[in-house]
Amino acid sequence: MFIVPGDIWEPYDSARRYLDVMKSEYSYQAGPEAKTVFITPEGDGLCVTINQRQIQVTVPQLKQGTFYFSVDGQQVKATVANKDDRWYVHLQGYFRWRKAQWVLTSPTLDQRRSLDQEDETTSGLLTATMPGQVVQVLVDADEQVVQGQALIILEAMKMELRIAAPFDGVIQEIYCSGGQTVERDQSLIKVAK
Amino acid sequence: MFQKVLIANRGEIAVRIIRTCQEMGIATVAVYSEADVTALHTRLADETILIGPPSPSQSYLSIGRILAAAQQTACEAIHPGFGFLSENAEFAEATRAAGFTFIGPSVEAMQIMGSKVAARTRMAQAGVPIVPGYHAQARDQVDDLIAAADEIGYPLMVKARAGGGGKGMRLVSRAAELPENIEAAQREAQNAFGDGQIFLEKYITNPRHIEFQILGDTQGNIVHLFERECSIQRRHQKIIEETPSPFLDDALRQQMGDAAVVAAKAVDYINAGTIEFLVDADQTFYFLEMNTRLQVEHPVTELVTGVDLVRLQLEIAAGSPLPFQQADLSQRGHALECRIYAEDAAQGFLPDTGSILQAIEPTGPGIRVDSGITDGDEVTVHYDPMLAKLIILGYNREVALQKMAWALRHYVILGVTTNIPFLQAVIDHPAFRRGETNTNFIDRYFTIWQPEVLLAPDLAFVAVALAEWYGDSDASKRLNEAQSQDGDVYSPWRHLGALRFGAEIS
Repeated sequence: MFIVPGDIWEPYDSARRYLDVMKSEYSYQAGPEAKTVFITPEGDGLCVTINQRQIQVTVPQLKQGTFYFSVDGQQVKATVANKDDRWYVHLQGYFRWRKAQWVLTSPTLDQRRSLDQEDETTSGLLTATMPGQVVQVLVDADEQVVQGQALIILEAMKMELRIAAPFDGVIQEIYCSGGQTVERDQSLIKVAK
Repeated sequence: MFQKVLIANRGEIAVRIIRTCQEMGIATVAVYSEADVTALHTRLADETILIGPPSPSQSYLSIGRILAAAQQTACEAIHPGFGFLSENAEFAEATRAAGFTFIGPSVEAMQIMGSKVAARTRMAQAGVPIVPGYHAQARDQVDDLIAAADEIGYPLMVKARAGGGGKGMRLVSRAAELPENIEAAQREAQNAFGDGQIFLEKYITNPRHIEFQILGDTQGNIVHLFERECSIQRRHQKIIEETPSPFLDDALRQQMGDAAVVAAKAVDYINAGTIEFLVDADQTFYFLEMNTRLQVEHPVTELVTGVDLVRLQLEIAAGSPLPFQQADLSQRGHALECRIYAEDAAQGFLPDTGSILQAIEPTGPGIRVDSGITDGDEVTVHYDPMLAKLIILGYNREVALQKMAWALRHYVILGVTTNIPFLQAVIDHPAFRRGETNTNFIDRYFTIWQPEVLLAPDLAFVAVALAEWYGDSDASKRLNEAQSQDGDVYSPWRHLGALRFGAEIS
């Protein structure tokens, strides 16, 4: 909701900003992707925002280690566990996914700040989100790629991360090579539309 | 029946044995190392004895410490489980000498079947088909070996006598290649095992590994409880087992079952054991070896026959005769077992270690989980990374496969990486579904396997965020306050009007 001065909704803006304060924000990384989830109480349930998408979620109920909630009407059972900065999640429900379990990491504060900067999903410049080593560069310059295609394999924190193309495009420039050690935020590869 | 039994093992099998003992009203003693202080098997037993540091040689393999623990707790019998000391004839002898009942076969049977040479000789005498082979004598010249190889036929394997675990083996396809391979194998064996003795063995192409469960009592009765198909192996480690074998027809099953009983009788076998066979594509079967203990994959036999093998082990050891005859036994339904390992299939099956943060087993009709882990357990580098076995009984193979796929999908183990995605891929594979199971299956279809690269869906992020939000006391408190806005007439929150917090005033 964008409030313009003089707008008839202006007095209600205060309520929105009050809720902004109550909003909780959680950021995680899974493989090459980092996303932020915003949770705001709304009515009897919660309004959850991810990727600029809003979904209606019921307040989760915890039973024997598993959370039960529904997302836009669909029942979900999630078992979540946490150790240090790793979050393990196993999802159940009538999903036709081949994979049920993922590991997410919560980025450090620095990483959170860099998430607010120019979104790499629009610019096509992909950087290392944590220090590590390039295992392999899978593509060549000028190669056509599709969204989600793995471009670079990075090894960091004993995890293998696949840096994927954020959209269909062509490899404009490669800034690293196999075996190279990279720093956080170091540019790795640029995909042009 | 025994009043008290000591379980000389750990993990899933220790839990399994303790449970059956409890059912039978037998008190249990668990032994554990420093690495297993909070392990599940220690929490289930009546008494626990610390027997040493994490290293197996100083704990679970220490005959002295285990017998001391048995003496200290006044046990009557010791169950060795599988692995560790279960096939150690010295341990069996020492146990009996110390006055305890060893739950297993005689020392002599263990010694004979524990030696490849002795076992083959005894089997040949009994008329059980063995894999054609020849043990090189020290005095043999190259010509002698070539002659022996011609008798065996090509292709053949040159193996180290002292070898094991797939080491010191060479495949030779033609006579011309034999001399150099023999020389190389002798050299390798000498370097690796300190013993340069070799033997030649016929190589069976794409064999199936099919084994038969044996039970023998102290009165000389021996029966078989049919077969287990164990061909899905990775680097000679079994991962999926099933029964009945899709390859056997009734006639072959009968022949092999009879041969298994003959083999067991040849060593006057008592208690539970397994005869392993290799089966050729043309249905010719050969004795490979006998395992003089209970096996990891015993549950699939239990499910199709309705027999509790651990219970029978205890009863046989206590002197009871078998409660059934061969004609009373039959197979019903189809059973499948998947071994769950703490391994990262994406990293070359490197064992993973860590804390089990959450373990939720799948449950339902026909689903059995034999687990050695529960929430809070530690998976360490010291021991075999097998966490649990998932065993399914279905009306037929098709139903069993569907149930297994469901159960794998619903087994929640958080905290360590497991081979569940790999198992799912194998179960799903068209060749497996067709029953084309032989020992080259994994090599052929899964040489370089990587789990599908799937980006975590938004829902995974949402679920974790919700879990964190739920545990985050501030957030929950704020929700309560927001909800109280409607409920509490006297709440100050109702009267704030246009008051703004931390917002820019435009």
